Amino acid sequence: MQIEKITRKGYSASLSKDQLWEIYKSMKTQRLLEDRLLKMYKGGQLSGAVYPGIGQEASMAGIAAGMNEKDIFGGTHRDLGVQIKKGVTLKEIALNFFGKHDGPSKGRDGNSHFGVVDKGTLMVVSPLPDSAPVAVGWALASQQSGSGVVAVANCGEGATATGTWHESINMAGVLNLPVVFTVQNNQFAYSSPNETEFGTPNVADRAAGYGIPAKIIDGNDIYEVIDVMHEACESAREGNGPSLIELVTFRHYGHAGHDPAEYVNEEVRDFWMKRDPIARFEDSLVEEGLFSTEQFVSLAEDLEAEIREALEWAKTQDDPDPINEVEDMFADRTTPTISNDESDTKTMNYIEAITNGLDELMENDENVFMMGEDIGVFEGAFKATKGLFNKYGPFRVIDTSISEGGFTGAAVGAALAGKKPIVELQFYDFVYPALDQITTEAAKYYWKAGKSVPMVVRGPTGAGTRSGPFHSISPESLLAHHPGIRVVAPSNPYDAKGLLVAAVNDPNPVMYLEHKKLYRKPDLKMEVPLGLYEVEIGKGKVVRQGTDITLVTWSGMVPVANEAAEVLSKENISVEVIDIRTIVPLDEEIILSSVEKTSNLCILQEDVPFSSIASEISSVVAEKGFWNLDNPILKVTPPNTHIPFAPVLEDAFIPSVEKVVKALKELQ
Amino acid sequence: MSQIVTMPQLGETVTEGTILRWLVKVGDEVKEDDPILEISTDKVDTEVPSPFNGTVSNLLVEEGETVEVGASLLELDGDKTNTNDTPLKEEPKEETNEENVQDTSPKVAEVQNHNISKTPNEKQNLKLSPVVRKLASEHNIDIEKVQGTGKDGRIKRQDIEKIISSGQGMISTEKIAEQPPQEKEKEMLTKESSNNISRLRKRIAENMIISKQTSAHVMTSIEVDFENIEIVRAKHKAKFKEENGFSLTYLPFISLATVSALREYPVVNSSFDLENGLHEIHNHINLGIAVDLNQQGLLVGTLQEADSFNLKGIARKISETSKLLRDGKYGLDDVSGSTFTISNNGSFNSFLTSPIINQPNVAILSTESVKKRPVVVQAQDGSDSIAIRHTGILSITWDHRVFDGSVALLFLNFIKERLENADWSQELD
Repeated sequence: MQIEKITRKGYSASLSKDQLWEIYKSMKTQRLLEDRLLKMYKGGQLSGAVYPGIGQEASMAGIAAGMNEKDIFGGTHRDLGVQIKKGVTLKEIALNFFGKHDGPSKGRDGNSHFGVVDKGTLMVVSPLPDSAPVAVGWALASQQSGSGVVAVANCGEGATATGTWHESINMAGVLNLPVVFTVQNNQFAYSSPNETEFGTPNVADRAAGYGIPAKIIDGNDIYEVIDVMHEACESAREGNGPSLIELVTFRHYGHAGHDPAEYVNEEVRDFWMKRDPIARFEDSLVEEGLFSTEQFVSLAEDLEAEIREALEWAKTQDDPDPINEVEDMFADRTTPTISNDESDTKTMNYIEAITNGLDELMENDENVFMMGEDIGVFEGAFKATKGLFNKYGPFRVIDTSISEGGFTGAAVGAALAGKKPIVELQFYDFVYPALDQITTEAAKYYWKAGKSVPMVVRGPTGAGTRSGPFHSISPESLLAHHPGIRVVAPSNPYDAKGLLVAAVNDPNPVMYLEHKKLYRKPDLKMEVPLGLYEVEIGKGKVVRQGTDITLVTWSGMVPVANEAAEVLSKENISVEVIDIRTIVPLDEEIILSSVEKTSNLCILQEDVPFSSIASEISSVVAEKGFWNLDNPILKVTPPNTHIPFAPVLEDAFIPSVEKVVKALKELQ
Repeated sequence: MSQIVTMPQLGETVTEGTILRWLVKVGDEVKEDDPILEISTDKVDTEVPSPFNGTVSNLLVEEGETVEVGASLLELDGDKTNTNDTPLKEEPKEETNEENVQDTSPKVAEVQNHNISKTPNEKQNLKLSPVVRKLASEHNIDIEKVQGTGKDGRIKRQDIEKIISSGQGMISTEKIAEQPPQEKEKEMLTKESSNNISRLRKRIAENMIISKQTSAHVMTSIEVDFENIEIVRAKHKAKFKEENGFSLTYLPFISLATVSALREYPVVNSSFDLENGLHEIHNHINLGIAVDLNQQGLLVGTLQEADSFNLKGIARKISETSKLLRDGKYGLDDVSGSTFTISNNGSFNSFLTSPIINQPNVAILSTESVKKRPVVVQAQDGSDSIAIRHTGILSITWDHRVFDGSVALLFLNFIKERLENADWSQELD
């Protein structure tokens, strides 16, 4: 077969014989490893899946070879070649394929779904290209700190149809971030050809829409890939912003081991087989007189043996122990709790306490920064960031495009890079487009990749402002259902600042829920300590002592609960009000010990009732406090509907003092 | 004193019954043994006699309702002279007033005491919360002495705590009173599921399905030469009809031969309970005969102790039982306790039938039509010739869980041998 020739021109021409051998070796390793894995998979020796990138070795090795060692790569399940060139070992890969305890994902995800962050590869997840915003966030951190790190956000052409990719590349363009977007266009998204994926002739044509440069290159020409990648990375490193590289290539096999790829016609296959990246590389190396065919054969034999040995070894390694699963959901905090004698105070309302907390956190730690819509010059829709843009500037109080998924994902990347990002959602209703990043990336990073993600997502929740169904949700149960994230919901200025400080200092993702009706509630002003202090996450508080009924609530319902308790005290019914303050982790102890005293429990919430926090608390008490109950557990909640606009409807939706009083009287 | 008449258990396997018709109404005076209602069960439709004297104060179920055995049916304001304050069933015999002794037949309705009016101890009807139960138990509180101050007089935690702190009431060592059963009788009354299916059809349907699900049905058959019987029958037919008022069919012959076969192969005359590991070989032979109710259903009449009959006796018994069943005038004994069943399909001109076993039998015999057919017969000199003879098939469905094909065929061959070779004329002369 006639081989298409390749020649060294740019940066690749400066590479030494040893450097070229290392690149060749990584390509050959990928091919032989994936070939072996495919055979094992088809022979029933391997569970899960294999996603061979055979045929794309030049794209993968070339991307990695064009990057610096400290540069970060966010890719897909078909990027083992990049991982190998970045230094991930055969043993690490083998352990992951067998789901072993010491593997990169500790058995929590299989096959090529892993990253080794310390070696510069981000965690691989199945929804693609979900690591793109994470890479963008890492680049953001790099831009802030001047670390010179470039992030590469890689995916196949199919994933470029997603909003996630669009938001990522758009944000990177707007913020001029050091990101290189690479797209390995291997002709098929699983089975779907380019025509069904995008309307432009090329993926790269879309770069114009983001105001960034782009190139289309031969992804099977190792030299061209190295040259263009190197150029793009260095340009980004110098502050010239992101670029897009479309690497046109071809995978020899199907999407996965089970896919015979019958959708590829023979003509196409023949065209690409003449451009086999390894054959072209070998041909060029022989032509240049650098290496001989015998050396290639000898290397292949050595690698084959090494691969077999690594796989056999991995099989014998320890399996993960199910006992560690729950413990490993959250990273332990290693920094001490911030102490404050609280002697210096100032009267603040709820939102002032939040702004004060943000200000002091940013002043105290330059790694703390904020992202969100209209939070900079405009100082936020509710003015929570008042004065902060002027004080800390556009690199720490970042006005983002309308890209909740994009900037929430970017917070994950920035947190991994050592920052403490605080994301503001203009309304917590807009968490829905960000949920993929929160649950796929933020919530799973520590569990699956062993890297903690200290980030806070804050914003206004709750109804009562005549804002209708899209500016009023109480999202606590929606969020709390996902393992791996903390959820806090303060009800007063003191707790608001204290929990914010604790959230920013927590090594895990914290969803910080503010209630917009409390922001400027006149009677909620109180003395708030100046200087940092913390309210411990996971600890509730008895806000009113009582003996007859335990009323558990949080956030905007705490004032309602207190008022109802006051009404009932005049009828000699003594209500104990507990503000749980944190939803996850739930302070079960404070609820159970109060029920032990009162024997009656009512849970009051603004969230809708079905499958909610009230249901969860009810379940906890039914399980662990059953023998202390003197009445069935009551829930006071809105009806199971959306939040309506018309004042008469909204007022009927939100639990009122009268409704709570009436319900509690039932507990006699 | 109010007393309650409950749904009787008419037969061991009966679990429920349907109220067909009330024969009394509220205010009626009834005397012991007066019929008060008609019920229908799996086994029988029958009248229920009143177990005691009294005035009907309440009918607790409606006509058409199906209720479980033991469910309350009717409330009587009892006659002091004829009733007792405690349930008769639990009353020790020696203390029972002779006058109050009811018919002790187990098929008569049970009587039980029932507090229709509020008893002094209303707290028994109150729900006790978990914490009240716990505290009462921990402190040995006599719950009946606690005054409830909660909603509708409910005993609250505070009420118990008051007792504990006062040191009173901690005298009971009895268990906390169990919550009385909810008024579930009413709720458990289930309506007839469809008006289009008769009770009898429903019963048949259920029994058929249960049988199919229980036994491993296998059918086998054999050809029988009835020529000798036909000769005897032809000879005695007219006289028999004249003397007895009904025709002499093949069935009594087959029945008698079957009884003999059952005595020879007792395993065919048995019941088999796999679940409990019990296989009961019956020492009496109660022969079931399937009786078609003029195409309105099927009942199995029982010839109790069938091995005590001769040919005439069994012929008469079959005829009588069939008539009782068709006229709906049968008693429980006429339809229960069969140990083996014959289904007389030949009377409807069948060729071959595979009947379903009548549980808890382990086999069922089907008679098929007897017809004149060409048969190869051997003369004494050994030569073959074709003769016209009355022949018919006998088939048997048996439960392969209990025995195997050899037994079934030995059993059939025994019957065949008897039918073909017994001296039947002796039975009739």
